[in-house]
Amino acid sequence: MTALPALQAALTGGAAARQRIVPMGPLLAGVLPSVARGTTISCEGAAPVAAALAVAAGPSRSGAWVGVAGQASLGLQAAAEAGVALERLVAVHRPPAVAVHRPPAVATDVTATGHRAHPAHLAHLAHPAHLATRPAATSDSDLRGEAERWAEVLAVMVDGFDVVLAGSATRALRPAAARRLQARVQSRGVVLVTIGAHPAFAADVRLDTTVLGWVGLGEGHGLALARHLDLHAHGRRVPRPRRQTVLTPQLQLAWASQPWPAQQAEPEPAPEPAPEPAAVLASAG
Amino acid sequence: MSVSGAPIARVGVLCCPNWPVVVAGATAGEAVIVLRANRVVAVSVAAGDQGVTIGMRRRQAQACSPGARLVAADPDGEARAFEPLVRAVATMVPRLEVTEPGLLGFLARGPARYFGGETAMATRMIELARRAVGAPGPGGSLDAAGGVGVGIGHGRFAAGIAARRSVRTGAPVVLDEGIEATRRFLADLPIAALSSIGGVPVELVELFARLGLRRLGQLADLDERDVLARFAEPGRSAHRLARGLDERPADVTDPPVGRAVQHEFPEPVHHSDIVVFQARRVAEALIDGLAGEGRTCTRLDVLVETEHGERSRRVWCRPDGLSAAAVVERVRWQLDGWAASGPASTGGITRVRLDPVEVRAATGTQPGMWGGRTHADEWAGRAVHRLVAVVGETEVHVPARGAGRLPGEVLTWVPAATADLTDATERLRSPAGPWPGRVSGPPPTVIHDPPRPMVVHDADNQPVGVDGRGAVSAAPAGMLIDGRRRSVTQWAGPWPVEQRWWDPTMARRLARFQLVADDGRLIEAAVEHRRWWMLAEHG
Repeated sequence: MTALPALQAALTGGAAARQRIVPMGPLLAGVLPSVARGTTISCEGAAPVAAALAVAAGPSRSGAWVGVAGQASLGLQAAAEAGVALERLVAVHRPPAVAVHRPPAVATDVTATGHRAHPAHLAHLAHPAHLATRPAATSDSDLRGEAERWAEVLAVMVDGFDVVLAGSATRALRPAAARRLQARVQSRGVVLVTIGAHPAFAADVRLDTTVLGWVGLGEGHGLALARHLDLHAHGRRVPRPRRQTVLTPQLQLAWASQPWPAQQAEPEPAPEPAPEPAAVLASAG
Repeated sequence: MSVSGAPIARVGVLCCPNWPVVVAGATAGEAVIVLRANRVVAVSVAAGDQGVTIGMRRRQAQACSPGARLVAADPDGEARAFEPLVRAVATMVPRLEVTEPGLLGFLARGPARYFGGETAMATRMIELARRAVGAPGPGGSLDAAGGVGVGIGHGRFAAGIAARRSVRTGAPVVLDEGIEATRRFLADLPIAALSSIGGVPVELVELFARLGLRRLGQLADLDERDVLARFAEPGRSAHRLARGLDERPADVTDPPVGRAVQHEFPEPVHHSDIVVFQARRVAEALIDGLAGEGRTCTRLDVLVETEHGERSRRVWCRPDGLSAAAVVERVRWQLDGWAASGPASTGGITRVRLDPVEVRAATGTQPGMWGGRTHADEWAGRAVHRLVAVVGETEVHVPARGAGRLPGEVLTWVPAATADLTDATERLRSPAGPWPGRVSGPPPTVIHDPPRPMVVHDADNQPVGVDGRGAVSAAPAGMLIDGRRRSVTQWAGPWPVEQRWWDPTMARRLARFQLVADDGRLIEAAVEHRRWWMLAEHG
């Protein structure tokens, strides 16, 4: 019976566009197996990008296209391993230009690019959402202009793709533009995912992530193999909030798939309540 | 059962099945084997007598015929050598199409009337072909390759089979007039002829054979509706071939297509992106122009020239027809391949020329029901065009395979305008070569390009460094990212990376670390020249 959903996904390849319920990626099977089309999901906490990729992986596997706006730093290998089909991934890193263009950075030339001063309004493009405080140097008018231009990009993406990831650079969107976009999202049946909390969007589902710890890493030795990730799905469209701790990526090693130390004492590793991360780290460290 | 459509044209086919052997310069009686990718593609008569067949592996062929001369296939040379023969035939028949070197077709009705009957014309044509090869020729003898044959019949498929038969007998084979006669001729032939001559997929033909359809006649006796229902469009076209009905008349084009387009740059261009964007405009004009005539380009000759006259020329082929995006992608491959092959070009690029070497009628495509191209793909393709209109063609990105060992080098972004969105297999193909020294484990979700500066300090607030032998001065205890302090809970490293040390401009020497911040984020950091950089994070 476990093979049935996979078979179904394979058979409906490309037909996902006509279904009202969209499956999520395998990582979210325990907390958010599927959502209705037209849902806005806000991925927050310590691993918002990984959560957003897990959301996109489900529809993408069954033939959906994924648009990414304002997340130039997205790790493509991570996206591929999460299950996003790279052949159906399209990204816009910067909003339509009005004036200044940053020359393309050369990856191998660290010292040169590292010293370059970036225009203030571009600097925060690289900010992951959970770090991002609005750059102080950006003036208000600058920000408003950029927000409007991002709204234009997002509108085209919502019209054309099945899943749209709104990256950290699109946080500045104004509430009025965000409302119009969300109306479009609902009528088109798109899944809109925000990377980090976007205040302008009214999120239907919130996906909170907490990293409990890394497996394989010690004090000056080892190598990061996987992390224990606490997932918490809640929000106004989630009737029963659910929480689960998962090991990602799934390891084939017996010792590594042990539950996180704080839960080992319990006979049955109950998925909730999750331990306070700070306390766990203290006891582990 | 009704035979629909217009009467099937009388088509002639001239065929020299082992043409590469002639080009390889084989003399009569000499055993010659032509190989491509270690597979036999053509054999001389002497080698064939010893048991060498097309499709064999190199070793098998050598075992059958130890004394044979092995020659690598040279498709360009074969095409060049075929040209005199094409010209000779073109003096007899005005309109002909070259399928591949060694095989050409023409409409037979008109010329046959002029030359006094089909047999007379075919005999004359064989003679003409022999003389054309004999005179200045490529040096080889036609007899070594088994000779040349001309067959005439209704439709290209029947004519092709007749031509093969003619090669064996040495005299032209002219099939009887009328569709019923053609069908009787085909009925006894093995079903495999569909794939070897008719171009039907081998898998489908093997399936027919497994289902007990071993002769063309057995397939032809089935009801067309049943075949269509069971095998869809490929089955229907195979069924039509078996009944002696060609899918469509020969796509005759005048030998010089003469649709070459080019762009000359006013100043030499040193950046391949600019060349590719210009090529895109040119390619769109070319493909749109062809599409307006209901044609599609299946083979394209791309020429790139630098200011010093160096040239890169390559013929790209795609049996389904090349879209403008596919053309642009091939131009990009060619430029990349040229740049990668070493110091082949010394100057900027001044000219790009696209010459459609082969065009054929566009048959259109239908979105697939199971997999293949879907409506979502159509929609997305349009959305990409609109995005390009909004943000500019350099600003819409799609993933492509890169090369390197650092997190952002394995997969990179390329402009969508230069990529083929309908077929991403080439774009995302696994990279060549291993990259030793790659840090394994889960890939980071956030990659900072360019890397962002950070500070890492030890418990005494002293900066942490790595000495020349790769030893850490002290255990990292805290870090400063964007002016915010974080303590380090877990860490590993250093992994020294020393790459491209042979090239002073590209050389890098750094040590990589993995640091876990107190909020659980894993940061991939590197220290280079005593400065710390944040390369990537797992966020």
